[in-house]
Amino acid sequence: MSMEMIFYMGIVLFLVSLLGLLISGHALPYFISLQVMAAAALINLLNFSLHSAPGNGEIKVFLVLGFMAFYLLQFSLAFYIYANQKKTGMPAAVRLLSLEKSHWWGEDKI
Amino acid sequence: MVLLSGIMAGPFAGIIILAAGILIAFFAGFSQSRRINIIIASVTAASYAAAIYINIRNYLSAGTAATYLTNTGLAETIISAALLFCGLNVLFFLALDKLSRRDFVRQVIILSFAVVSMLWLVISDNIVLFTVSLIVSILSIFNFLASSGKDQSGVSEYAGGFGLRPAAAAGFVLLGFSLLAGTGTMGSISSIPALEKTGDPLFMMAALFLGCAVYLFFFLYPFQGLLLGLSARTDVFSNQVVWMLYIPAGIVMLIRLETFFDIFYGRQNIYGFVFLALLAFLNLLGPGLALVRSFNIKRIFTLFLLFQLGTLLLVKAAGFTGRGPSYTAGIFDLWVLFIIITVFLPLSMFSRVLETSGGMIDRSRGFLRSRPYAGSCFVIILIWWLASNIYLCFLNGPLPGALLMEQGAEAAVLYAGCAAALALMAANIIRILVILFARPLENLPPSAASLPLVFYIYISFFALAAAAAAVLVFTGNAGTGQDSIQIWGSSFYIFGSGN
Repeated sequence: MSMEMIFYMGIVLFLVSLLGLLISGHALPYFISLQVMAAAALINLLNFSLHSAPGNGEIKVFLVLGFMAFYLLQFSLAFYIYANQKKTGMPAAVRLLSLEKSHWWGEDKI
Repeated sequence: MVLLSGIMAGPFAGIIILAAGILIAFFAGFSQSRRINIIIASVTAASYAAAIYINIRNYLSAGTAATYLTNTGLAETIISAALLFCGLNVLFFLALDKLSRRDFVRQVIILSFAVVSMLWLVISDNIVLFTVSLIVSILSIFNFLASSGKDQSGVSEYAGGFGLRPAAAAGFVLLGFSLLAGTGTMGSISSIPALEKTGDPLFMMAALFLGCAVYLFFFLYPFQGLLLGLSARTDVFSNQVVWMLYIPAGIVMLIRLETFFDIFYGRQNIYGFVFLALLAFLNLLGPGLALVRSFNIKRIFTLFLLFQLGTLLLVKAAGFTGRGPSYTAGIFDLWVLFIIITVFLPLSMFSRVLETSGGMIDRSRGFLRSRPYAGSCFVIILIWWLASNIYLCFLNGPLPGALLMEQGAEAAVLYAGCAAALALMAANIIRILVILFARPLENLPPSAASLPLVFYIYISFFALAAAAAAVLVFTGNAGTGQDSIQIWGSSFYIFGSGN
């Protein structure tokens, strides 16, 4: 498979993740969208590391440390949400693009 | 001893001092004694102050120093000092609220971790270090926010959502840098300017993704709902954490990434201009419109903050008018950070006081009338905020008078939108002041008889600082140029020519 084709696959994955982030109303699909986005980044990094000699070392270190930090953050969030799921549900607050009237005009109903 | 003095002269001196403070706090992690809590708070505050001193001393003695991972110059020294000052204030508010609590020391440790990771973010020049320190900063700030907030209805939901938003921003950062790998340069951020000349499309896409990351990170319109929901539901301290740790971390991220956005400045691109101008007006006019019927004081101040962040987009839109790379956006970002610190720290103290009467301005009628000194400080700080924005946006910011003559219609559109947004914000501020000055309603309980001395000292300090800065600017003794800050006739080129 050519480099361009792998790159386009990464872009398609990114678009899927973007759609997921924009429409997900629950934490679970949001996390899945984040995973898909991370997969797109991973594909790009592996793709470019196969073909570009300069900066290969940095790409490998970035793959390990960057993704480790990213998954640590997600684990922390998932743990917090799981620990508090009995108190409140997660649907409304997760939504990336909220069109509730109170977020644009007037006072928030608490 | 030689080793220690060598370490203390290096770029990590401030971080090491803070780490020593954390190490000491570890030993008292499960303390239930108020006395121990006071000692730990004092040691941590001293470590923050010492870190500010050491960073400044190292810059004065060694000047700009660059290593494989880090870059420490005047800009990094100033930003580090600003972040440590923010951390010091958050520590102060934490001590005010929770000094007697059993988990006080643990929260101090989490706060110090957040500040340390933000300091890494400031000095990082390597892309790997930048990404890791950014994600760890988000993680630490979220942990601090989640552990310090009150356990009340809706908070957990919104706090969880609050953490998920910057996680998406981190995803965009990973994606942006993964594309940068395709250009063959994954090393230092400061090596990017050489790359821009190639006009690599992968680099342009990486810049676009990083821009999306910054936009999402700041909760800018139309993604503002969660921040507004969180601000109204959580206590004042959680809001202070957002205002004084999370937003400054975002501004640091933006300053570090300005290298990527520089490629767009100076190119006359009508599509880019229209897109960014629309986003800028949405973020300048949106908070103004939302404020018209807002009464919750925390929501009001959060909308002020969103307006302030909207001005960051204004400078980006101005860059598309083909003005040339003479204006360094980093200076503007730094001014915005300075304004946020000088305005939102005292406002957060006011929100604490107003929270005692329910946190709604219509229930705090008569506040300015019954407390003339505090009210005067409140008015000074709000006027300073408005005046500093007028100064930055019209007199010597991205839209100075000469720009209108040079660029014609595009600059006129920016002028008109910016003027409308500032006029709307001024009208909202007058509305808030009128409500707070009005006679209290008879059916409402009287407010607390006296305010603590620390409140008066705190607001006096910031009101005096604001008044002094205003006097210096209006007398021509201080100001900002296109790529420098002038103080008493001396120009300081903070970002050099690289940003």
